[in-house]
Amino acid sequence: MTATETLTEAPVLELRSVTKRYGGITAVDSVSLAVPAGSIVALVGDNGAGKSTISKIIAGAVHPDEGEVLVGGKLRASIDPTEVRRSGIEVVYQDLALAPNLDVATNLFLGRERVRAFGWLDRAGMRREARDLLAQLDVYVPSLSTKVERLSGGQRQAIAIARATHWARSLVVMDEPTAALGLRETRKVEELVVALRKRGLAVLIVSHNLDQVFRLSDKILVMRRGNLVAQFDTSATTTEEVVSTITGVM
Amino acid sequence: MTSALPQQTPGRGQRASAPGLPSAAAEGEGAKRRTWRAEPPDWFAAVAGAILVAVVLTFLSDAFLTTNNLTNVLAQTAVLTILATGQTFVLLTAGIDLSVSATMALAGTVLGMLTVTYDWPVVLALVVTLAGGLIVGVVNGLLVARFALPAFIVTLGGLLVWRGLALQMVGGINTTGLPDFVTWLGQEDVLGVPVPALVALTVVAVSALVVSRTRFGVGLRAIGGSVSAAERSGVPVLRYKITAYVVCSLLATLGGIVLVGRLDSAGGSLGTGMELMVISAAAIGGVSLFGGSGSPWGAFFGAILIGIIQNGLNLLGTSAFVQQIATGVILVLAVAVDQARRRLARRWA
Repeated sequence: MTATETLTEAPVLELRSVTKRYGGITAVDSVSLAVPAGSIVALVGDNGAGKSTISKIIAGAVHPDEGEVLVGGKLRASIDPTEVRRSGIEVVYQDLALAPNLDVATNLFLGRERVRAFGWLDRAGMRREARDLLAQLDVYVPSLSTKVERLSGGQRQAIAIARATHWARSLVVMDEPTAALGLRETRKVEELVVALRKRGLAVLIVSHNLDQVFRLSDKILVMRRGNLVAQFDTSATTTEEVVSTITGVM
Repeated sequence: MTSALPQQTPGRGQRASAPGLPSAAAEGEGAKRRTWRAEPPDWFAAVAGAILVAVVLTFLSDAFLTTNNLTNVLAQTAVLTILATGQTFVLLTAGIDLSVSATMALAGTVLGMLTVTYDWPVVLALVVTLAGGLIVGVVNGLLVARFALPAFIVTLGGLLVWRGLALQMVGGINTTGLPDFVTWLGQEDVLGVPVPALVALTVVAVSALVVSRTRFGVGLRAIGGSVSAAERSGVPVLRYKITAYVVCSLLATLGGIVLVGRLDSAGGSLGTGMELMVISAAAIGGVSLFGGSGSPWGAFFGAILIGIIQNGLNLLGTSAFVQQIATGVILVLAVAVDQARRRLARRWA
């Protein structure tokens, strides 16, 4: 794959001295980080380290009190989730944000349906595109008309990731993508993550699962008590080193 | 769109393996691939019930299965159908509008006053009446969607306010002698089909297309399924919710116009208590009271089932009280059948 040739040198996402406080608690304390194009970056840390606040800030759901967020080298001004999506960043939420009562194809296009004249949905076109997308990603569902509530946890996760893959132009943020999954389904999701990188997308993955982080990532960022305390190249570090950085026990 | 990125050759069949990707399709499905069976539509129980009741009535009464009687049923259920269709929009969002019959009465009263008491031109009076319905819908929608008050409370309050307002406006006295166009809407036929039935069918058909084939319809169903998922997917939740209440109130207004045309009488006591029949019709037709599923066709078939039962009991000379009992039993039965159907469908899948 020659995924990088269409991408620029600037990191797809950069945080500069980002701080977020909740009352007296500093959830994120002057964190600076960068996600290079086409790379898988893992964000690890104990509960309450500030990982999910970081992912919420990137998703546009939380506004930082201080600091700057740069998307593709450009400063991101007023943010809300819709703007963030428009900037090419997709988020796979821990709860997936799928409508359980709607079918697979409808969920893949939810909020971004394609319409023809007079505002009628282009259902055939969307289904064709959905079918191609799932085939490319090797995701199997009984039918595009299956309601999401009928799918297994792994299938739902795959649909959420497929949706993010379809719409993302630079970065996919994943919050604990395999926390609720069994072994085989976890492997499938990991394959999807690798497939994203093959498509030239960067992935920021928030995970508790260090084995998984080592299997997938190019870079590991460690947070502790709101601070970014270390950045490792995955190939140049060990589980022991990362664990001791997470816990702060050297 | 991913157009800026290198594209892989799209596979044709949905299970085709993508080049260069590990083939781990059918995770958790294993080898037992089964052909997908389409789910029966939401309104299945209502149609089955209507057919069953119709067959029974055909045997019990000679007067039932006649063109005349059946067009009568259509005309009599027209207003219920129109209101239940409007209610469907709100129910889809997991809301409820208890104020529909009060809104209908207010609309009828306003139309009667403007055309009869003040002798306004009918077109102008209709525009003002519909504008009134619009305002009611906006008030309901804003209070529910923007100020996050419970829909049940807001519209229960609305039920009292709008009906009270209608009664106050005319001092509890009904107006009669409505303009020809209005009575035409309520009473006349076109090619043997009652105009109110045509109005109702048009409302249902257009609404069904809106619900199934537009972004608004998808958005409503998404909101009812998971409001937070809809929000994070970029569905304009606030705007769509308010629009649902506006559509509901406008259709209640239309129902009011047709009803005063049918009765040639307008006043604040029109259709008292009808909101429960409206919600029953929608629920019987498989529109979920918890949001996210159902279709205007369901509302239509639910209304038709109620209409056939009332008509049949009339033909058999049963009292109005028995009709009420029958409708209540059918309501519970239809929802029970619907639940059983969903459970079965889930087991097959």
